[in-house]
Amino acid sequence: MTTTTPLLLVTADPSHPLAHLALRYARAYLSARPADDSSHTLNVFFYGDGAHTANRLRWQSADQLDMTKAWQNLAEQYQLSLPVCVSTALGRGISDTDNSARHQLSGDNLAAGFTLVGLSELAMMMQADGRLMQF
Amino acid sequence: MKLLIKLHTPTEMASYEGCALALTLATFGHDVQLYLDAPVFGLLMQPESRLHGMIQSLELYDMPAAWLPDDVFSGWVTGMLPTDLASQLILVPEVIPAADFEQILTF
Repeated sequence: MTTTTPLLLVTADPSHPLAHLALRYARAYLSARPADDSSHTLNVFFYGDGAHTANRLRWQSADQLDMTKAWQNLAEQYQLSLPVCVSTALGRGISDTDNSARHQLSGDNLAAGFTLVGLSELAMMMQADGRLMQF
Repeated sequence: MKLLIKLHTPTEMASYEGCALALTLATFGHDVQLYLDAPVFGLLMQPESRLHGMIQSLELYDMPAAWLPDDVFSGWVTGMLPTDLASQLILVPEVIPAADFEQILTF
């Protein structure tokens, strides 16, 4: 049996219902795979407004799901990488130490577990995968 | 992967990001068709917008002409645009072969 690794392209702001759906899909997919099966991985890419998920300074009231923490927990539990398009992140005021130094920005706010990458990473993920879903 | 990327959100950033994704994926050998919905026409008409410049360069990326909705506004906008930009636009086919696309992305 052949399987393809799903690629979730998260473009919705974390407050959008689709962003919550992406998280639910990822949780369901990962929890359904056999514990000893590392071949059933999941690829995620944050783009556009989805980059807001990687902002560690995004405050959330206690009655709301903290999407940043939820993705961090999932990533830790299943060893997922959380790539974020660097240009869409910088355009929304989200930066890591390297990019802040490069672009003379004061401070950084990229949440732990997320990484800023080029859009070419997404293109390469898509070459290996056959299932792309936009949330 | 064969993709249809639809640009709908009338902001400079969203239209740029959708188009940038299309051009990048085309560079990596993906088969990408752009669809410019009426709300982005205002940006398309602004020579300083990034969307304007990127649509002008579709041919350089070996991308087909971008689709426009088949209505009177598309005819009007193509008449208003410079020839080099208008040549990169075409009305959407009457029947969109949606099944041919592995995914449809919207920005």
